[in-house]
Amino acid sequence: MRRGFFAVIIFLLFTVIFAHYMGWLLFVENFLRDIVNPGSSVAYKIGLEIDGTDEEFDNIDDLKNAYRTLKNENVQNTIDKIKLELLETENKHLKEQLNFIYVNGYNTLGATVVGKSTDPLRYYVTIDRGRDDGLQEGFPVIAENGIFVGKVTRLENKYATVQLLDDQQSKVAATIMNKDKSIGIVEGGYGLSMQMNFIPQNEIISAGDSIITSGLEKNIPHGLLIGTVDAVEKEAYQPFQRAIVTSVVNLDKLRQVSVIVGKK
Amino acid sequence: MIGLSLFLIYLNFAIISILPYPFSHINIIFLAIILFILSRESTMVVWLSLILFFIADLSGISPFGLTFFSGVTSVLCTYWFYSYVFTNRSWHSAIALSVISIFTFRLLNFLLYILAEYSHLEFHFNWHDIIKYYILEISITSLFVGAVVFVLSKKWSRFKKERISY
Repeated sequence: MRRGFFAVIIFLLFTVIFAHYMGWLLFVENFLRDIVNPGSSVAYKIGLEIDGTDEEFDNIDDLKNAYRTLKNENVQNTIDKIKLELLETENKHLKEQLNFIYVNGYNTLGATVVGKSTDPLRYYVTIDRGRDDGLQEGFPVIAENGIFVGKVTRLENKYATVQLLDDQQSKVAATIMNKDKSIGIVEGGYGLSMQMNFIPQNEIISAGDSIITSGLEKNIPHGLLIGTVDAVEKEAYQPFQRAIVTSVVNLDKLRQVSVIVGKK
Repeated sequence: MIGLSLFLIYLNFAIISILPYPFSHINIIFLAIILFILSRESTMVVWLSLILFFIADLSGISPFGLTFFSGVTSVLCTYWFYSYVFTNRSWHSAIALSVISIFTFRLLNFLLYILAEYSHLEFHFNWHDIIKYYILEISITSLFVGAVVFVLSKKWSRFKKERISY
């Protein structure tokens, strides 16, 4: 293999990379993506069918414990729902009295997950909606009517890439549903869990607390469920504490998601 | 060449999505490249890798050029090793080539990723999972390559153990 051959290949590499960033290869790239994405979609769907999207249990005792926990949570949720309905009625009356105008609800666009990342350094999925459907970078993506799973980071005409919450570059402003309503940043890149950082040391957080989006970021509304606190890490003489967070959905097995495209 | 590249990309998606752990870590792209080098003994493999890694980079989320550059460079290194160091088609040379190619690819890719994302002052990796992934990928792909070359060497003369003439 001659030295000249090495030089030609390296020159070609840099030329192609330069041409990409100048936008000269856009037509070729879009054409190739339109061919590759359907193949990825078929493989991903077959993989989900074989794997299943249900949670797995190692033994019957785990299944029984999970059932008991869910049953107790269901009872508590019913009680909370009644309290919520009473509060909503009271809130409505108070707002009417104050002549307050409040806009609620968001427009969402349904999408199917057609592929996932093949790179071990990054966690993302590809959905079958893109620029042609009105998506923009930064739009939040939810699963199951309100569980925040990621943000749109790259757009093509018919597809979009969604950076998942457990990606190492993911950062979301969040609030813990504790007494202090602590705010912090939920970051990915910690394997199956996420970490919520910059929580003031003096605020009390416990395992089981829910974490929602704080609404302090552009495009991301307040109140989308991110996950629950698994554990709390505190170090003496540090101004902040950390919470280990687990998502309530399996980010590896997403099938249908919705993109929040704006307010109603 | 483009057709073969697309076929390998589809196969890569299928293996990652469909096969169970740990077989989902088999890097079919490098397996195909090693087999191509052993059977053809031609620099055509580098041109194949240019198209292959160009397409692979398009479906990634990392800045364009990382997978492309590290993939083609690792194939260049692998071919150099085959031509000047191993110089034979035995199954153990195939395993060694596989280890070198994937290790070079992952190392370059990782270093370029760090350089490209340097502007993000704070980035953190789950080192345990990443190292485990890389080791598993290299081990299982290399074992698979060795097994395939061993089987093929019994059937086809192209894969029989002999020195290349240079």
